[in-house]
Amino acid sequence: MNATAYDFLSAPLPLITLLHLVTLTLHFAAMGALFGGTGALLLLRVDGKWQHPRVQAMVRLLPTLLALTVTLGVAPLLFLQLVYHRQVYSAAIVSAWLWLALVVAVIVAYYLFYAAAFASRADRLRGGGMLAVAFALLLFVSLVFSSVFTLAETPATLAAAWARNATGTVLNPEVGRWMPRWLHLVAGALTLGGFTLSAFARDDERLAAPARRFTLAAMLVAMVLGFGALFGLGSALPAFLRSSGLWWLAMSLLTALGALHFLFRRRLVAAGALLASSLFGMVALRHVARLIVLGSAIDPSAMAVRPQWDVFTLFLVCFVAMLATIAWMLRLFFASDTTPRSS
Amino acid sequence: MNYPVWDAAVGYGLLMGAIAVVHVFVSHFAIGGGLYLVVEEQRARRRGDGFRLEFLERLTRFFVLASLVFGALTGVGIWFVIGLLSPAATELLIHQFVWAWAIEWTFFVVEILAAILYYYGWKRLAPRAHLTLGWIYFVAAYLSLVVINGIVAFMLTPGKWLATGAFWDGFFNPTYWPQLAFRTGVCLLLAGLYSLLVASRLPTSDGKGAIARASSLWALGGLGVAMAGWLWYLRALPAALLATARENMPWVLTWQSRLGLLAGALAAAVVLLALLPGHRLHLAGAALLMALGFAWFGSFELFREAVRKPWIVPNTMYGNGIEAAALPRLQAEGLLPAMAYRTGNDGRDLFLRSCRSCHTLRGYKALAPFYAGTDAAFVAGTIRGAHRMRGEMPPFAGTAAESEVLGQWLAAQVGGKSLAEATGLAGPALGARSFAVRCGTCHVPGGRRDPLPTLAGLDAAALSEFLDSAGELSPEMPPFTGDAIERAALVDHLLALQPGGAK
Repeated sequence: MNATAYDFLSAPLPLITLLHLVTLTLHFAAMGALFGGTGALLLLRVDGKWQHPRVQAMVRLLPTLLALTVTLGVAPLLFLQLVYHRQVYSAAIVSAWLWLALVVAVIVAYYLFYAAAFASRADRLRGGGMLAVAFALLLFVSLVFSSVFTLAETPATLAAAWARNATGTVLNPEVGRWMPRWLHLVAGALTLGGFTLSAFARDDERLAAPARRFTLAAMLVAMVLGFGALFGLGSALPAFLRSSGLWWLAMSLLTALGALHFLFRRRLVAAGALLASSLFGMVALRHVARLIVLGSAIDPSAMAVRPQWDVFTLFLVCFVAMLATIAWMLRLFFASDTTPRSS
Repeated sequence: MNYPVWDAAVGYGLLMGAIAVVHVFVSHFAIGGGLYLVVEEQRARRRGDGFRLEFLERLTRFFVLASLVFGALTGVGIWFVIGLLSPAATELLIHQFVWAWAIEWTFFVVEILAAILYYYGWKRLAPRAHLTLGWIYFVAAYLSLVVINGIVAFMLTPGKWLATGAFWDGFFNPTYWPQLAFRTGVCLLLAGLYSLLVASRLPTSDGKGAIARASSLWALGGLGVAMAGWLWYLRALPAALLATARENMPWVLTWQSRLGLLAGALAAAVVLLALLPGHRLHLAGAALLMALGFAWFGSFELFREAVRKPWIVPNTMYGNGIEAAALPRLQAEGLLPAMAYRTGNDGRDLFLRSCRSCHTLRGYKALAPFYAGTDAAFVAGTIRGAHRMRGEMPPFAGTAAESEVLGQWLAAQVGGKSLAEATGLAGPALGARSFAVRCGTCHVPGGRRDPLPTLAGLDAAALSEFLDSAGELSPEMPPFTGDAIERAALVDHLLALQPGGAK
């Protein structure tokens, strides 16, 4: 390998994969709370919903959740690009204008969340109009992401789609394959959103009970759609059923059901932990399925490894410092007197 | 080679420039603004200046909306856009600097959370706790610049990395420190300019005047640091890089001098503002300052991008994503067989792979109008000699046969008319146009590759004969393929260029 060769991994593949899976789980958790939480707020039928203090508290949290979602989304995208750069960039190029439109959509949604939060703070939130538009924008974002990432898994479809139209305005033409997956992700996000809302409303059964029922319904829909997405694997399904993906699937289903059990017993910490485990299982399952579908198109384990341990160690130090600083800042903030001070 | 090409109806440079310049203009404020907020808060609290504290709280709200939302997301936008426009270069950077980006991400997370808590903490936290969060924000934000600066500087001056391939050689490259100094100054400058903008909306009062003066001082101080950094940066740039830019892209150096002029204008405007009583600070004036600052900083970013041509990473990868190391093999074995994505039209594929990163057919840096009135043989000749042209083009990374295929495809796009028919020109204007198209891309009379000494003393017949043999002088020199009308006009033009000729 010459000095300026760059087709290498700067850490062993298992380490990069682990970092990708963990950070993607965190991103999905934040995204579920934001996107699904907004959906839950909009869809839940409760009298005087927008005046409810817990609903207002959650609306005020939405901009922070969006910041969290974006920030936590950077890391998994980084680690994904390190290994699957050729697939991801190529698929993004096929849908280039839509890919760029994501950024605009998120910016507009972000400002709408802030507008709703400011309105809530000033006790002027009368309806969910702004949130509905923001939700629609995020729905568009999720649709494009699903289309691009499923297209990235099928190089032949990708090449044919680009050869037909290179202007960057095309979604994945295999709609039957990615639509169930997209809808499954939306339903999964609504499940997380419903759980977030039940946690927010834990002191008020008038809101918490419908939020739990919403979580249950969303999870059942997500499960059905998830099986649809699995059948969408087509000829790769038998290989998936023989792989570790099946174990991740079983683990995800069991922990999801366990989460429901604890949720209805109002043991939120246990429910949250199991839901997070289920989410990690789904992320791992998704990773296994990707490798199977990509098949011979890429073998990440064959990539050259040229570790940069010194820089990696620095990253670890910074990562630990980041966690410590975050914990310290949150403690400082929440330990303070909540009575407004005059500046 | 491993990626498809986005054939959008927009120039890559324009799109990248627009997103990048807007992003850096906000993201540098996100750093300098953080320092401004804590320093000024500390000062105001010491003095018990309630008016100033109210202003700072207001500024924080603007700061959060500008930097956390727009700044952070346009940063993500840059990621998205570089993957679309230069996927191979992005691949190179990701592989080489993934842990640098990962480190920057840890600072980014702290920065975002600290900013949110600082914003919500105005009415909730004790002053000391609030200031602590502000300082954490600023340190994290500045450290993210410290990291990203290494990667951005690497793309212009990879330095010893070219020989060693080592991370730290690439990171602490020759322009790392000067660029960090420059950008630090820009952060402070923008903190002052944005604060002036927000302060301009305050009701007229003595407090407003004091804020305007303080903000002007921040801007002036930042400008001073930035200009010192800029001079240091120029000295750190490889001399060969600047010399090439001077010879082949004089407009880049024009930008450089405009940068100085703009900085002067900005300084004068800021000084003026600092001297004026507060009630004279209007939104229009503050917005004008912002526009000046935007133009000045934008000029630097454009200069940095332009002076890098034809490379995306010097001596490693060309602007069209072709690796320097792969060039000899591609020129011997062909570009088409190496391309992973094909449309089924060889000419178009060669255009997309070789030219599309900088040129469109009929839009930004359009080739169709340029080649109008020429033919396949001439176009193919210019393709083979692309690296000789002014404007720093990369060499064509294909075989001679592929240059013919691309030449035929491009010629087919422009219609096959003569130059006179295609342009509607005649006489001296036609001659000048013919010279510009056929000779002027490489030769400048009295300048670069001066053609005049070669042509000196030749009469019309000799010049016409010279045109016939021009294509044989070098494989990179295209043949003259114009019709008789164009030939006569070009000969007249060449005669006029000679000493004593009718100009």
